[in-house]
Amino acid sequence: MTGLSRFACTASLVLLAALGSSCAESLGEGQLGTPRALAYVLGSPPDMQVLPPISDRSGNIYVLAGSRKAPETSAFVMRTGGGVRAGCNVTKGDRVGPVGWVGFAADRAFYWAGSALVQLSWSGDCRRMFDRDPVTGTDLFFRAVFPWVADRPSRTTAVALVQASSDPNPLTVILDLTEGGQVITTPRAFEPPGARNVVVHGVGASATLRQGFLVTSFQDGDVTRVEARFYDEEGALLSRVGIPDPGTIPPLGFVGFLQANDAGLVAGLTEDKRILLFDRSGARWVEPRGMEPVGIHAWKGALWLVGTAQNQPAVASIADNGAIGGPIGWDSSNRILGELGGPIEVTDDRAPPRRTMRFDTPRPTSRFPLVTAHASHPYATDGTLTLIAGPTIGDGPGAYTLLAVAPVGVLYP
Amino acid sequence: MRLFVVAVVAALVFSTVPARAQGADAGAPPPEAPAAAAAPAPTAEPAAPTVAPGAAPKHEVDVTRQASGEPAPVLLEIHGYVQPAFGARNRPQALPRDRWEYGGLSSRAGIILSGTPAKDFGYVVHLSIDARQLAVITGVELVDRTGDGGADGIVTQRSAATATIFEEVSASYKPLGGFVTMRAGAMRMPFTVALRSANTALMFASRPGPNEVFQSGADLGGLVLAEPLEGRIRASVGAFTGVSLVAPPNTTSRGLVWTARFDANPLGPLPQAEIDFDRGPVRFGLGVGALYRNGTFYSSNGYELAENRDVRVSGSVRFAALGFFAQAEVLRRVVTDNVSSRPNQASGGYVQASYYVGVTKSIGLAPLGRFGLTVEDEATLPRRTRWIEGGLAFFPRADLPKPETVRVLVQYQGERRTTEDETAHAALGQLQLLF
Repeated sequence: MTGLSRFACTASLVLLAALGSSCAESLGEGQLGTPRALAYVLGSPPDMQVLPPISDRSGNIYVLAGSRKAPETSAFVMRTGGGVRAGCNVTKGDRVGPVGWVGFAADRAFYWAGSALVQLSWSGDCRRMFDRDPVTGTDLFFRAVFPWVADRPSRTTAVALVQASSDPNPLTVILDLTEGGQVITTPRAFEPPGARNVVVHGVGASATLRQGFLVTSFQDGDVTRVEARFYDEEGALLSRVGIPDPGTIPPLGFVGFLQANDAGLVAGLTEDKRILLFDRSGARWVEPRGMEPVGIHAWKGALWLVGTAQNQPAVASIADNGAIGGPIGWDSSNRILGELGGPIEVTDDRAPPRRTMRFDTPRPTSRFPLVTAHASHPYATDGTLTLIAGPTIGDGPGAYTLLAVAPVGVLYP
Repeated sequence: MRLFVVAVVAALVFSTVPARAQGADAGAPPPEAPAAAAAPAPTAEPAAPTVAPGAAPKHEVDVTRQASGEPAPVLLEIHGYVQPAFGARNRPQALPRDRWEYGGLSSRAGIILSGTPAKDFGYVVHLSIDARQLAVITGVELVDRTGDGGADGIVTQRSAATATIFEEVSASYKPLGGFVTMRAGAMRMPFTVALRSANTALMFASRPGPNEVFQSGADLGGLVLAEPLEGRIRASVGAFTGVSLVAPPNTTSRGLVWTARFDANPLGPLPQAEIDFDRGPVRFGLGVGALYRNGTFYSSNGYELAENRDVRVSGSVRFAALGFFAQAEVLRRVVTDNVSSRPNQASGGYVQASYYVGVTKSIGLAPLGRFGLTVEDEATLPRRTRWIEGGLAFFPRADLPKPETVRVLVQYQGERRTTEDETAHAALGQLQLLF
């Protein structure tokens, strides 16, 4: 090898080393990123009714406040380039508040509240989607929306069960959410055709499996059936699984959404703290042991039961075969509590110019950070978004609390 | 259009412009430089890659010397190309309207004005017209903040245009006997090998898909380029304004973009075109490129939003021998800021190869293949894309000094978005004429 060749090789190797080193650092477990001020939101810690924030592909952050048991809904957009858009409180006007985030596209997010599907855009635009049947003009009611938006380069879709006031049963449809599109396609009748009094108890979806699933009950002749169902991204029914000993499950009686691991096992937690596990071959109930469950989370393809054990945040793994491990203290949650042990600086870019403010006594919005009925949103590598409560104005049911949103490193042990 | 007319008039007026062969002899070497055109020169990769797509490189023209011994000025040379393309594209999962597209695809035309009006000083004006351009406002939206169905405002979404009419508008100065070239103006940043390649020197009808994900289009800035050892080493550093880098909607990004690229071709320069027409000896090249920006995002009303750091690196390997040409690149991008804790991280790469066969003295063929891969949004929700391309290039006038003067390309393009489960297939034919 000539000197020239050696020089060339050495130079190339040095620069290739630079290529390998162009890596971004992710937040450590429980480490807070820069908190950004959001808005004053109804409620005060530790019982604030605010869902874990989500983000779209562009990095805009969306926050949804409210609970299923009350009609009030407030949605906020924290734009990636700075600025907060508030004031979206769109529902169908029924008594059910936000059920949860359905998903997101490039610069939009969608939430399901009561019987409405609402689109919230990065610009702050907020509108009900598919509010009426485009042909008959009758009201459409969303009985179930699978919480996954398939955002492809050429088309954005979701699958839902929609019912018009004149329909005896909901239809499974594809919602074309493509900007400028907004078309309902491929309606499929509820099976069996003779079913009546269809009730949806829980809904979930998996982007990895490209499937949606729900727990439903209906009258089939004189028999009341309770089933778990799997649907593909075209709304086709893939399989039905009978649920033994269902007991009493209220409508939307599963907290948060049903969650699935990559092996196809689905888990849901009812309001009365029973755990339903099912896949396409069968279903069974499991009682949580050693912990007070709060929700089921899916993270990196695995299922976790989250809650508290011995008055501390805890998680328990749910294996592919449905075996639930013993509760383990959740360091991520504890470390966030540690970070909130003293005053924190909060970036306030709600309106320009950007400035810094201070939360003297920051708190989580719930009893323990991350311990929520809804799963954590994958915001960055080993990172999610958490809410931090700042000063509260007023007290009692009319209290308002200034919230901030912060990225945070998270690990499920 | 006005520029074009001015250019044509200027060409007629300036009598010092060397006569160019026309018609069947287009692209033939000028009579002043038979030797330079007949054999591959050591500097087959010229300093300005977009300068010489269709005809003999500038230095081949600029050999007439005045009585003083100084090269005669070349006030204006006109080159250009026309690349009409026709084909069909199918996206099975798309909306019914978008499932089939057919007709003109990727059609492009360019005109290049260049010259050396004074010793050591040169210029290039490369205007390109293609179907992708002038998309500046990417969205207009009525805002209904209260959900009552009424419009509370209008928001427009703006994105930096990724394509530009100006492929290159630059002036250059070559001190030290041409050892160093300093160039300023609008040009592509020499971040990757593919970006350095002229539109007419590409193996396929377009640059590799992964390359376009990481950087595309011209930028504004300056570049210092050195090519010692008869082009075996090629190093460049530059500073640009970064207009070709995308910023979040309704924000402006400020901050110089620093670029550096180093290429070593120990056994001699590789072909400028991505096909080894000369069927030359074994040559290979290693290269690395980097792009760095420490900038600030500003809001639409001019206030500071966030500081950001943009690092992009690339590494390349090229090989040519006996008609075979292969080129591979790896690319990486990490964009971070001090607010979001959410890196915009992507990796990608491609490998492409061609094999040139001279069927007869005047007819050549080259089968082509390319495979590319990218993973975008690696730090958030990764999206994987695969490209597979194959084709056949036909050169009916391979006897010309630049066989690509006339090229007919038949190509398949396949794009598979594995994460989003979407595919696209395209078949196209492209004719290339250089003048």
